[in-house]
Amino acid sequence: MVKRIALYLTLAAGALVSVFPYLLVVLTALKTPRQLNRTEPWEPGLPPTLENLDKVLHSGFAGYLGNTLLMTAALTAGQLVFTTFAAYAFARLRFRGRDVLFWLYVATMMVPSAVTMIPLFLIMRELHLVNTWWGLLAPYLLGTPYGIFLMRQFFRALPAGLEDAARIDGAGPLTILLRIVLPLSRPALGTLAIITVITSWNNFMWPLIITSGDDTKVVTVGIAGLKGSIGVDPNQMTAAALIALVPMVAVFIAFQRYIVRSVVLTGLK
Amino acid sequence: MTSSADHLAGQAGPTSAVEAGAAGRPSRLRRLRRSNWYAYLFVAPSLFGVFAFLLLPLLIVLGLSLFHWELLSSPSFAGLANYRRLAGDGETWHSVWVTVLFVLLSIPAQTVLGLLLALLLNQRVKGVAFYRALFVVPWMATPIVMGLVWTWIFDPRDGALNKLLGVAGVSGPDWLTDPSWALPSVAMVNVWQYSGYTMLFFLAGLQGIPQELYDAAATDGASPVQRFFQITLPLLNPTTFFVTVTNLLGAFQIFDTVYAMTDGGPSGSTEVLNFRIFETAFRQFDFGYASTLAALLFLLILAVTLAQVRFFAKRTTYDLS
Amino acid sequence: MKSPRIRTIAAVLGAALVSTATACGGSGDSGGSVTLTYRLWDDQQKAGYAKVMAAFEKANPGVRVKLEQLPYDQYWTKMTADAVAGTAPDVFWMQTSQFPEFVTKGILADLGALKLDTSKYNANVVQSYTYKGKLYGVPKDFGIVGLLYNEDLFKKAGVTMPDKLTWAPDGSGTLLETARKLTADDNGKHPDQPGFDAGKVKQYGFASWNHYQTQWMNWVSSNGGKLVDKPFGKYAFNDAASVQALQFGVDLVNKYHVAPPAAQTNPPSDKINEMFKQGRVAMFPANNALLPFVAPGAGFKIGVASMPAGPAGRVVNINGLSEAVYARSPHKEAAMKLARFLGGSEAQKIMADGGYVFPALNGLSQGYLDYWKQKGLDVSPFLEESRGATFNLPVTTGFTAFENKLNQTFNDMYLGKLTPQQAADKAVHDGDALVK
Repeated sequence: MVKRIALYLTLAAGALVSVFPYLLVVLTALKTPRQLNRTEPWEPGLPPTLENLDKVLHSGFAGYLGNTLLMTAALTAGQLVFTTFAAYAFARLRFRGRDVLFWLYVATMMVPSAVTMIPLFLIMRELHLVNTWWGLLAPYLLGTPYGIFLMRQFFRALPAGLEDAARIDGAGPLTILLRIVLPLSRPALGTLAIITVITSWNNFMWPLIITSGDDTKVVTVGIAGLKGSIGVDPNQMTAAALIALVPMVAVFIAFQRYIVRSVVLTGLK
Repeated sequence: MTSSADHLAGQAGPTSAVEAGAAGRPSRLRRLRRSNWYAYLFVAPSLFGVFAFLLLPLLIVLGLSLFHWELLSSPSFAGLANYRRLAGDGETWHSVWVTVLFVLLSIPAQTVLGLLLALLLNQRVKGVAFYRALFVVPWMATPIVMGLVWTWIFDPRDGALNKLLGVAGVSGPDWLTDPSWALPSVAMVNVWQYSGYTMLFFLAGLQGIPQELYDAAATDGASPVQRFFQITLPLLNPTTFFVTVTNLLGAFQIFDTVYAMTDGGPSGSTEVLNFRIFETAFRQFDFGYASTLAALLFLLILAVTLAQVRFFAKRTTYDLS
Repeated sequence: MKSPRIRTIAAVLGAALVSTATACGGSGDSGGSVTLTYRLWDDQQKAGYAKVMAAFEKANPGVRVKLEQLPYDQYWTKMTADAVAGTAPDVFWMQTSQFPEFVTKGILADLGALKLDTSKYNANVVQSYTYKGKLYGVPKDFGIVGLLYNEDLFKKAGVTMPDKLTWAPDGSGTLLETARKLTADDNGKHPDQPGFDAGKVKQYGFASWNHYQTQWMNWVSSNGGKLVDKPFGKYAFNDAASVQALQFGVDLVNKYHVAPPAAQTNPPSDKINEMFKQGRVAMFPANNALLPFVAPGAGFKIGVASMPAGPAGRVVNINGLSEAVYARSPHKEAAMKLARFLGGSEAQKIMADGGYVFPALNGLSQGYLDYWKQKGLDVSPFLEESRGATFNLPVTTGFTAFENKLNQTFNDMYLGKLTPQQAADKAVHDGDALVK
């Protein structure tokens, strides 16, 4: 019995540490500067105020949020479309050079993104895409090797019988992919989508380097900018943080099972 | 964190080759002829992406590392001059050391914590899903945002952490401005962020271990500790391998958190290699030398990953297909 | 963006994205109208410039101006990157210490064609942006470092601000004396009293921290030290007078304990602003452009005094800004028009009367004084200082790359990990290596 209590206490403590920063963000974003000075960080400010959120949204964050949404949507769409095609080809179709190419993909997964930042910037400069939407999106729009790896694993595990039957009925590869394989792949696609949404949303270094105008500024870069102005105001900072974090938490709660499934997909179960 | 699982795929390669061979010669050739054109079409966009945005940049970096090029002036061929400079560049080697230290501070802690949490949750616990969700929530936090939030939490005087410690009667250090505390503080944030996600993998691994093994060991009189070291840990090897490789790759490339929390300071105590590359390239605009540093990072990551593959290859049988 | 294959991809991704992308990628030249990009770093002044640009657009139909504000720590990085990429904004803020780097690389347009009457502008600002006899920036404003202080804290401590603050390397002078009276630990003890606990200070008399513009460069200059040997020359702040002055700045923190420890104030932290606003620091040297940030949130009466005079008298930093035109701007004609407008009295009056800056155009400062008087602040000491001895930020190439390194080295000095001599030697060495 003592053991059970200790177990639950440990779990509760771990859970508290996990959510503590989130908790502080919520509490502080809803405090007035006066309440901030008069309460401990972990105490709520009563009554809560929406003033900080309002102020932050009007100082440009509404636009940054829109840009982040657009970027995330575009990159996720791109990832899903191009990754599916390529992964299916690698998993199910036979073509000359397939294995060599796949090895190449696997090898590129080891190239740290930091290493490619400099040349990517130079490439975008040559293409006159610095500070444009295309420059921001292009490097990640065509799918990532990791995504292809993940989906290939999944496709290979699907039973081939249905596809063979369809092929005998005269269906082409596109029809097979769209009509037969994709409907079976919704869990994997969901997982890939979630992972892509989170990485795109959190993306910071590339947007920082490639964009400067408000038209293309994303939330992460906007928040980093708070640091550079005079005096990080905790109210404003946490309000901006809340705006950046809430959508991801919502996505997480709604699609939790897909995240858990990513573990299975990597072949580890 | 950069998602990556290269080593796994590395083992998948041979499997698919075997399968291709087993398909039989004549039918294989016929199929190849019949089906290859659209296969190329399917692969083309992503292949273009891989070439244009991964391989080409890698080549450019290696090429640029042989040039003197400070932006706003034109590049000039320098041969190995940048590499000679690197050899004598104490600050860069210091930052390599900082990077290694950061990895050592965060990876073992986050692996052990992840395993521990998984072991706790693998018992008959009410509300597993609830706890699991709460543990994983930090993983998806935007690193740059949480970096700022933690900076504020770490504030020596007004921060929540030192205030909490104050309640307990301890006076906390200047977390981010004291050179001996800054790196551990950044590592702590990393551990906070990724332990739960690591736990997820261990939990899946634990659930894959058949109960009979434990039962048999129990009949043989093995203590729980013995069972852990003789059954659990060895059977978790594939999982351990996966999480350490992916976590290491991420940790070697840590940037956002450093950018948000310390800007490489104080006294360069948190200037990890990735941050130094960024500074050299995008603050000092010395693209030639920054490319040399990027090449160094690439080699470092390559070496560490290969070392791990060798280390675990002896201890793991792992089938992917 | 012109390749057909990317177009195809775009089609897949949906019309919404395409329209956004083309809207942003388009040059804005269509239909005879021009959109200029104007970049600045100060988010308070952004509001003022929104008014200025509205006036400009009204006077120049067909030209629109897009304001782009970047935080200071990203501003120069982006500006360099954009200059490299050929995508710099049409008109943007320029600062004296960055000017040499940009003008020597041919990024700034020669403004001779504007035929400005330079005698109507603050001479220091005009001279700061003149290179080889040509003007490369329309004088915008000048900022002066003065001393903000918390009048409530003075009153509570029963201290009055001396008519003239002085300092000397040996610790004599009214500055340290006043700062000591305003520094108190939890038991109300002052630093010169027995039993004073430097680890538990409730309130500091002075803000001494690693900020070159408002801090150590002022000590160096008012002690007869030199920052650079000559314009576009090498750094010189490791001479005896400079090191003595640096030592004083550090002593205020680590020896006299009248200023918060460097561990709390070192950049990139900007804690000190907050500490002043919270009433935990009594005297705070600041550029007048900081007023719009500090004054509104302060729960006490802010006083303004002149900076302390050193052995070489009172020498304070003046920092003139200018409006630069990008040499490769695709809309140069319109950009020049905008630059001229920004130098004119209509634009500069808006900024002065809004309490943002002292305009570079002579004769408009009264509007600035009036704005702050209305808010209960007498800011005339700033103006008075600008008429006395001033110094500029170091004018030499390579500062963009040097700034970060300099701050890191001096962080160690304020922490006491490097002596001022060591820190200055290292900084001068690093800085000189970047001078072209």
